[in-house]
Amino acid sequence: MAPPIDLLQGTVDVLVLRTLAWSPMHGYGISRWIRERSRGVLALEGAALYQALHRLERKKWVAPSWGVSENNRKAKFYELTAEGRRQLRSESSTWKTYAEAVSLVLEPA
Amino acid sequence: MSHSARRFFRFPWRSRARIRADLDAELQHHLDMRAEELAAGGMSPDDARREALREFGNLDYTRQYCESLDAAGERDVRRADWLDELRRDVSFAVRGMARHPGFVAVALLTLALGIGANTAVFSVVRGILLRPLPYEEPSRLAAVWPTSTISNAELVYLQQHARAFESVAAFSPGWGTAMLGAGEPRQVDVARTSANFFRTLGVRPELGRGFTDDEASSGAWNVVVLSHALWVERFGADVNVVGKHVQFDATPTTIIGVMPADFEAFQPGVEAWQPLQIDPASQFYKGATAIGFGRLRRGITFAAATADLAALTPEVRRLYEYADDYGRGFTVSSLQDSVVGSLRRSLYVLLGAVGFIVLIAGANVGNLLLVRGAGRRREIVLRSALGATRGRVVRQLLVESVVLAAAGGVLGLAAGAWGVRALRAILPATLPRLAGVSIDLGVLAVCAAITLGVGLVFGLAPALIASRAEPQDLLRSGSGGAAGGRAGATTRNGLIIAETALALVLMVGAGLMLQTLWRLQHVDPGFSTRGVLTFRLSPSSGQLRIAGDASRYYDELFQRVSALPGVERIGTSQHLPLTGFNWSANLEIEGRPLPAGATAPRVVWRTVGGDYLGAMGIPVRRGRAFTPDDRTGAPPVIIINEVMAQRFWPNDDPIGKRVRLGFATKSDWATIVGVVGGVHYRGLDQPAGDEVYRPLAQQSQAAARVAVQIAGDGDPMRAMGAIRQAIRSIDGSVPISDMYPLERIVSRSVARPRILMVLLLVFAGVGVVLGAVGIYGVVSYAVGQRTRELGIRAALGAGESSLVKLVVGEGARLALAGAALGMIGALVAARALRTLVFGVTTTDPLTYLILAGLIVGVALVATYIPARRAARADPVAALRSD
Repeated sequence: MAPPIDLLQGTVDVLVLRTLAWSPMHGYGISRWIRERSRGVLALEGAALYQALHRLERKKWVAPSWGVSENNRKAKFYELTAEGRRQLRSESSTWKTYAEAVSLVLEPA
Repeated sequence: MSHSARRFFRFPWRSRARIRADLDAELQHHLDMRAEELAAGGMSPDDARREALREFGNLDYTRQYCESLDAAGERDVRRADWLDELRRDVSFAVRGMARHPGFVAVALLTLALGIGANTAVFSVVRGILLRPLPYEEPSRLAAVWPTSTISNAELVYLQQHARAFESVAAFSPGWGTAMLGAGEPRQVDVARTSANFFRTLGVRPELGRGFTDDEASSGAWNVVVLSHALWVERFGADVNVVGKHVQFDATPTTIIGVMPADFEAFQPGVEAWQPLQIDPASQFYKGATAIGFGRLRRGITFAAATADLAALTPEVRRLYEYADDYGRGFTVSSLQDSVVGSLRRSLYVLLGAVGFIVLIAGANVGNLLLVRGAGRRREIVLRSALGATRGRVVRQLLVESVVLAAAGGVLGLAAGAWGVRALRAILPATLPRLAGVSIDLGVLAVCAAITLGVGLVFGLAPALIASRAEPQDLLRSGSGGAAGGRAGATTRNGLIIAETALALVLMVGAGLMLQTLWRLQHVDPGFSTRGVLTFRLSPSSGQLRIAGDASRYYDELFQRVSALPGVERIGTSQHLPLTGFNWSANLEIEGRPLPAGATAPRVVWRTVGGDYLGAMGIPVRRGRAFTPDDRTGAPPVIIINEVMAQRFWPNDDPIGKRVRLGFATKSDWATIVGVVGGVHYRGLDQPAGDEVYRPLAQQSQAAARVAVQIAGDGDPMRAMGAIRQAIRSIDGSVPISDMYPLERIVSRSVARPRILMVLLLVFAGVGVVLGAVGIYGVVSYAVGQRTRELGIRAALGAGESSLVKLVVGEGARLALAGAALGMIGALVAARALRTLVFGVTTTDPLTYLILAGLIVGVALVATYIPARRAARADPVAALRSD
């Protein structure tokens, strides 16, 4: 399978940041949350999710730490950093503008 | 222990394997969780696992992608940690040094001297030797036959036929052209150049233009390009100067351009350039007077150009009837080499000398660090006990020595800046490219490299030794234990031996140059400078032309100046000895025709007026000097020197024989009327050569050097005012310049060996002082360590003198070893001086022995002072000192 294209990558990044704005989570938690929150419409591929997480970690927008997950297993948790929060704010507004513009174009006249 | 301590202080660094394991655990967690969830929904565990894997997407790529990201992040962390540690080490070093101001002051002073001397000398070497010539594509500029000069005829021929060259140009140095029409009459140093001179170098005037090709031919010569300095001085930097007229040697001349301030080529200090007067009809057409150079075609090597020109020489020889040996040794070489090549050896000798100083300074600092390392063993043991590895401790200590060196480097740079100014002031102004010597980026880089090198090289051994401290060392002896035990002592002794040896090498170099200069100054030049004043005259202005020829003017001058009180003798010559001008001509002896194919002997000739021989104190050996009767119309006469008499008439009397000098046209036969003493005109280090004198009245020569002998041992400068006045009274438009005692010409001729000697003496002095300081410091420390031992010896009845002997004896052993090593080193190093010494060999045993004795003496004094102090100490106090 080809790596995610840029648009998709950007979308995943902002969705992950948004998800972590609630509380620190591990990767699986994030994917479950997005699936539930989008009422099953957005099924985020694990591959895209973990690539995004490590990318965001390298950019220092999220900070990792090892903890214990709900079923008592060792898991890597991610937390939004101050810099990540700033990024989320600016990217969400960009995304809203973009999404509105796209839906304006797609709407029947 | 060390691992957990590190973990305690910071997040541990992750290895590549660790990164991979973490990543696998993370991804496995996701797959497991999903599979469990799917299984909870009713799938079989196997199906659930398969489905989770399928949903995940490209697992391999993801693993690869994440791993490379994580590794890059890890590298950032390590770098940040490393920088952080370095910052801590530096600040620790600075704080540590602040607590030991004495140690730091000595180390910094030492480093500043060493690095400063290096910076200054390297600036000069770089400015003169290494910096490319400031012309367009300097690597393509070539000297044509650098060991000889070329004639206008050759220039024109080469311009037309030398295919290896894009262009061939020539430069003829010049002095003392009379300039009128711009303020006071003034002599100007005007060089003559081929029309393509500026274009060949690839430089443009800052104002106006350079020469056009037709300005090289007859009748179009009266144009001039001014130097920036002359333009400012005489024309007030007038931007409208182009097109104005001045008189150069009574010829109206048009100013066509001004060169930029930093332009210098071939003759430092030249003030204006005029076109070479290329006239095939002139008797000077075939006379070699100019420096030839050219711009090679792209891709042509010096060797190829040499071959090209060598192939042309037979034709040149035939066309212009040059002697049979013409063209022998014809070469083309780098222009830069020919401009500065003669300085290379001296400059590299100086660079070597300052290199030795840096080594001595470094050895001193190394010693200081060893001692300081010993005093810090408690701290080092504590740090290792807290988990610092040996590498970590060595690094900390190296950071300290580099920080110390860096501070020394900054001071050294300041000292170097001062040194560059000092060197520019004391080096002869005639050195090519001296004006461009400065501390530039290249010098800064070298200064920084030396600084870092000193910090690392001389910090490494002390750091390794100090870091070897073991906790039991601390228990075994008190804080006063020897620095690093035996390794420390060996290193210390080694450094002392090296310092002594290096200082001796410097001293031998200085000693050899000192003798060279002493011997040069005791060479009898063949003339006497006592009470002789000299100056230049260019009586070629308008009034003179009305009055007649130059000899009439000089007759008048001799009369008026001789009448002045105190003036004993006066005479002129077109050039004085030791000024670098020795015009020569082919000699033909009546009745001795040259065998076919033989080359005519060449002799140097001078046209002399008045009582030149008398004023210069050149003795008449046989026959007579010139008299006022030897004038135009009288039978031509000539005087030869004894060197020539011996060469051509070894067995009979030359007086009465007839000779003639051959230029392009041959002169009349002249009768030898006298034989005079030989003169070392080429240089005090050169033997007196063949020389003939011709009377001014029979061979008119306008511009000349005048020598005036003042009565008794009077200061020749005292008569200056009166002489100037007398000359002005004849013709106020004749410029007088460069009036100074003849002695100055002699001393200037040995300026290079003198400067080399002075600098080597200074460097040797610095080297010896640094060496002595080093030895003193080390011995003081060593006896401090042995206070207890010496105290016991004293308590057991050893007298003060026997204790001193004990310590000094050890110092003497080291000093003798150093001196022996230094003599061997000097034998090798002094070979570099072989072509620079005079009257002494570079292996002169007496020099070596005396200086070796001297350095051992200095070392003994440096040992004696602390030894005596220790021996005088109260034994009881010494025993308690632990």
